[in-house]
Amino acid sequence: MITKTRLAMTTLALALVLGGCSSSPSSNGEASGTENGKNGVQEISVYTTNSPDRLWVKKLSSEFEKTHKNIKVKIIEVPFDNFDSKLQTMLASNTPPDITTHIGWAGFSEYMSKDQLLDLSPYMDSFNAAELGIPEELMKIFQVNGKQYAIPLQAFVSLMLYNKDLFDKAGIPYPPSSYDDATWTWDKMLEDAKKLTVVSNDITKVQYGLSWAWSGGGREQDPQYFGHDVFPADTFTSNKGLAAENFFGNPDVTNDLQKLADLVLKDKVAPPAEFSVGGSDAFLAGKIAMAVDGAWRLSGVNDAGFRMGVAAIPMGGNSKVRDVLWTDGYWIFKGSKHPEAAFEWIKFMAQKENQEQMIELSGGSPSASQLALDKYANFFKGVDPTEIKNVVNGGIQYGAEGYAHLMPGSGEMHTLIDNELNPVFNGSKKASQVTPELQQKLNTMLEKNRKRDSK
Amino acid sequence: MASTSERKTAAPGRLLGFIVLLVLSIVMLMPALFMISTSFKSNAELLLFPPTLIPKDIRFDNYTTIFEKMELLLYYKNSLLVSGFIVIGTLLSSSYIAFGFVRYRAPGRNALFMILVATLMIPYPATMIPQFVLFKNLGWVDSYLPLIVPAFFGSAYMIFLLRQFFSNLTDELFEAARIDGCSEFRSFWNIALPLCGPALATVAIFSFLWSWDDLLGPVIYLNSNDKYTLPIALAGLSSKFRVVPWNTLMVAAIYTVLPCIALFSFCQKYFVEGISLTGTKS
Repeated sequence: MITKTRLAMTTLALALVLGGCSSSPSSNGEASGTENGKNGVQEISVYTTNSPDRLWVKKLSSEFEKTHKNIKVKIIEVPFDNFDSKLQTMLASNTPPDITTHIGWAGFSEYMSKDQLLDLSPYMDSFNAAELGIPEELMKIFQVNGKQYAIPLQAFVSLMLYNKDLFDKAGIPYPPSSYDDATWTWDKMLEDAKKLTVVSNDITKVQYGLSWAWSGGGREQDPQYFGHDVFPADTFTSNKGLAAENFFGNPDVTNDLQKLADLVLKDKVAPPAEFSVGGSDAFLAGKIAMAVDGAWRLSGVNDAGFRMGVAAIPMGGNSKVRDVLWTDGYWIFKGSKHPEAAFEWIKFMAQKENQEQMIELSGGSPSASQLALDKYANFFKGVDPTEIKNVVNGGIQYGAEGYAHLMPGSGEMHTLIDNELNPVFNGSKKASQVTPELQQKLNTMLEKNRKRDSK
Repeated sequence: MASTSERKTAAPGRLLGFIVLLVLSIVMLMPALFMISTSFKSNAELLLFPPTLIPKDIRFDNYTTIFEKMELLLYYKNSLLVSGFIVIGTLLSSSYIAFGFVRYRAPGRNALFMILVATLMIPYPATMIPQFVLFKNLGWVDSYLPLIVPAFFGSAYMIFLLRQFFSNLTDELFEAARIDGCSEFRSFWNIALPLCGPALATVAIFSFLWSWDDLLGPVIYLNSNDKYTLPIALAGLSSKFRVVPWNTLMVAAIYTVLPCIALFSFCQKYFVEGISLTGTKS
């Protein structure tokens, strides 16, 4: 009897657990929205991160709901590092969200190559990019065979931040923000970096002239800066981002990689990997004079305890490409039950006033619209707005889109390239000892990717 | 009683041991000390190089303003709910299954146990998508059910751990109980479980810590911010696109580890008691 009572109690407890924790039908947030509700309300889902820089998605979606009474927006937020893993799970289980962009390593081409993106061309009649101030160059990034597959809402250029206090102390003129200044070259930058570097046994006095993360840490794109492509040109035009081969073994590419490694090892103007400031940012700590990185680095400007400037990336040997663009195109996944409503959301976010709000709410992420450039240029305390405008305009003009956005399987490739090149950057091997084998391994991986795509 | 000469030779050894242990303790405690120190720092002090161990400007308000920056109490409640049920589920199911493996002799029992142990070698990402599809078809996505219910079906590691412990209990104990008219369930509930205090405390600590720290499971299954657990909220503080607010993150981390410390202290007591109760072990 006692046993039966206990069994009944256990069953009851389990039932309570199951009942108490179950999901409500409307909170499932699964992709492709929900069917029309009783009042004809359509629910669309937007997939993003829960980091502060994406707060605008939540806030502006509330504004969107006020003006679009028949559309409800479900925000699915995940941590930055888990962005790709959750999205892949949702796609594999055929429950993708309606709208998202590329935030992790898997980019636009990853989904494009798998035929998972909705062709937005039928909706483009109601969307005038030029009127909204979105440059044609940015729209083209998301065009495949004449069809539009995503709308850019944010566009990060790469740029140089510099510490004016350290330049003044060394008596060196500030670097220019204009991309038209032909005197601003790699060699000039290196010369300045050497003068700005302070070698000392006293760790509090150590100072470096330069930190270089031109392509956001993706070494596969770095040789492009010097005018040497790692992948054939047709990879990004007619080949859907699927490279037929790679040229890591090419002597020019090898020399470029060695040149970058030598910033730390030979020239000693850049900090070694172990140089970190309590987990914080060595540039913001005032220990680095020039930092080349993505425009997201500007977000820390307002916390810095020194005067900061923004400069153009110097000329490195490639007359067409001087910086990397990270354009966040927003797309709609195939299978969305409410593509019109989803497109309305994208259109709403592209409006000038919303692009301006996005800059404010994100703490300084750049909009894709040139109409909001004034707002962006004036957002950062103590930085000359003209410098920011020059750098953004020049960056778009001379920018090449980040490989991560354009090549399927870029995450896997990046891991391989990073692992193989690590000995070069920590000084245990020369680039020439590593790149022939890297070329071979990467070719095998590329062949596998092409076979997977042809299936 | 040790002689004076023995004490003299033992003293330098002990002193050396003490010094080594002290140094190792400091090394082990450094990350925790740095976490506490960072939690009291101002935004400006976070950027100082070299970093300070004792903050110049101690910001106690970091511990209160965090509640304005994030809904910490909500995430706390959610984490406690999920971990609490996982601990209950794991304790009930794993102990019962482990008891079954020890007490019942049936054909294929050992093979079944080997298969169970082999499942420990399957990494979570390998089963992630099929499991997600299963729970999606059950309509459980964006609920705690995919996180909690599997715990009520046993955990391979915990079953393994408890089985080892149950197998140390003497058969005579259960035979005597059976003679007195005790059912199998009662033997399990009233005899086996009370004798396994240390093992149950260990299972409770492990399952709580693992579920409390679990990030991937909640990330995959939960879609609504109001259902998120602490690890998701903490992970949301860092992004490639922003300077990480380490002081806020460390305050949140300290609040997060408090229940773990409390549980460990609580279970440690039972752990000791459990050992004294297991005097009847063979």
